[in-house]
Amino acid sequence: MTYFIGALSFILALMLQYGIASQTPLLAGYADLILLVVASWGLHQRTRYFWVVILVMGAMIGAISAEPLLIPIVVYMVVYLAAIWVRERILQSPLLAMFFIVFMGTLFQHLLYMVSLFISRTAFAWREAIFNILLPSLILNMLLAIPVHALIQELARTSQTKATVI
Amino acid sequence: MKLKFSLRAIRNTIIALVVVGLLFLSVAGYLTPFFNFSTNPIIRTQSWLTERYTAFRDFFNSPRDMATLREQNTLLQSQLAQAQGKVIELQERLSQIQIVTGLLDFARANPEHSYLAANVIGREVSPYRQYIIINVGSSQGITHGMPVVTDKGLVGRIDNVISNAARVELITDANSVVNVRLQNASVEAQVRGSLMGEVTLELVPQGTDVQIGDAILTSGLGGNYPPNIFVGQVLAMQSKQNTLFQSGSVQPVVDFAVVSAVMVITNFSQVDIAPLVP
Repeated sequence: MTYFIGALSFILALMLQYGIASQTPLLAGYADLILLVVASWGLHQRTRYFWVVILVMGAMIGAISAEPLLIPIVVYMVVYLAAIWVRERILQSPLLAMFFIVFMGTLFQHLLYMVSLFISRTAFAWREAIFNILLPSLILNMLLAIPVHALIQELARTSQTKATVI
Repeated sequence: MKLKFSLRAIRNTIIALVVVGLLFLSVAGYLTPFFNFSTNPIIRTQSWLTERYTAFRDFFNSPRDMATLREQNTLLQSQLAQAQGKVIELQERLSQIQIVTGLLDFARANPEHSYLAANVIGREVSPYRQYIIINVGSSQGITHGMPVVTDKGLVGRIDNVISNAARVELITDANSVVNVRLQNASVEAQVRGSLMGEVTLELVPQGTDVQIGDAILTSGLGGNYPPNIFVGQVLAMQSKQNTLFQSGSVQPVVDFAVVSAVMVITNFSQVDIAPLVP
């Protein structure tokens, strides 16, 4: 049940991302709903093989996106594993953990994007990228982290309760 | 008897004279202050009484009126909401019709190309790339490299295709380079995108007289785009000493933030000149 609901939430997040979030920029940056959903699931689900869902989702986004295929896979897997690690070892407050993961995950993701641009020899200014894309994206991600966290927490609780009953 | 008649006659005469005198004074207006003085208290009393009665009547009738008014208000509000919904729906349809009409006009004005209309269904997930996703793909005959336009001008080209969707690289993308010509100056140049979605004009030879507002069209060089598609207008030019070329900023003719429908030119094949590049 958790896998099914998790996959559905990712598909919904993907559609919202391509349809709405990517068309609602703050300066030139925008929120990454998929990253938020990945981080939330990492903090709340308890199943063993959920990483497979993340992997498939990352590959799907890598195939659709203009970024190199590996970047979304690496970013989402790292965010997911980091969320599990933080949940189990560092922070006990899920919302604080969510903020921490989203903050670090967004920085990591944008760093990879910039490195990708740098390797492909695309002309860009680091300062422009940081101030007009990274920071606005970071702000949007942090703002949206609260509702996404609440929603996924509820979904995870529901799916795990049903799984227990079954 | 005679005296009695006489006294009565005198009394009647006096009364008649008084009445006639009062009538005369009244007609002449001499009694107006007196009338005002006597009627004002009556009018004031009447007004006070009427006001109290009206207030008293309203007090008992108002709940019924309020309920009726509230019902009418709710009814009108619902009717207004329905009307507003219809207006929005009609505006939406009008907007779609305008877009389709614009695309149709463009197709009629440029009959040398074959077009396939498509809707924009999404935008790239990475903010560092300027791409859109459209709802036609290889099933509809779309292939890599086909140019994408709107009724206003050039949008970009097909970058990747799946069966029912395609990814379009916009001319604003940092990796996009379009060979263009300046219509008035008759010189070749390049239009290049950037990370922030701004478009710059490059490789304009020094000494070329470029005016602000000059039209920029595709040149067809390089085989990536067909010639004579409107790209934008020159917004500003920069010319530095000791450089071979001028550069400038371009106002694209297409508003990429709101583009919702595009056309793919299906009878144009991108020419791969990579093997010819030394």
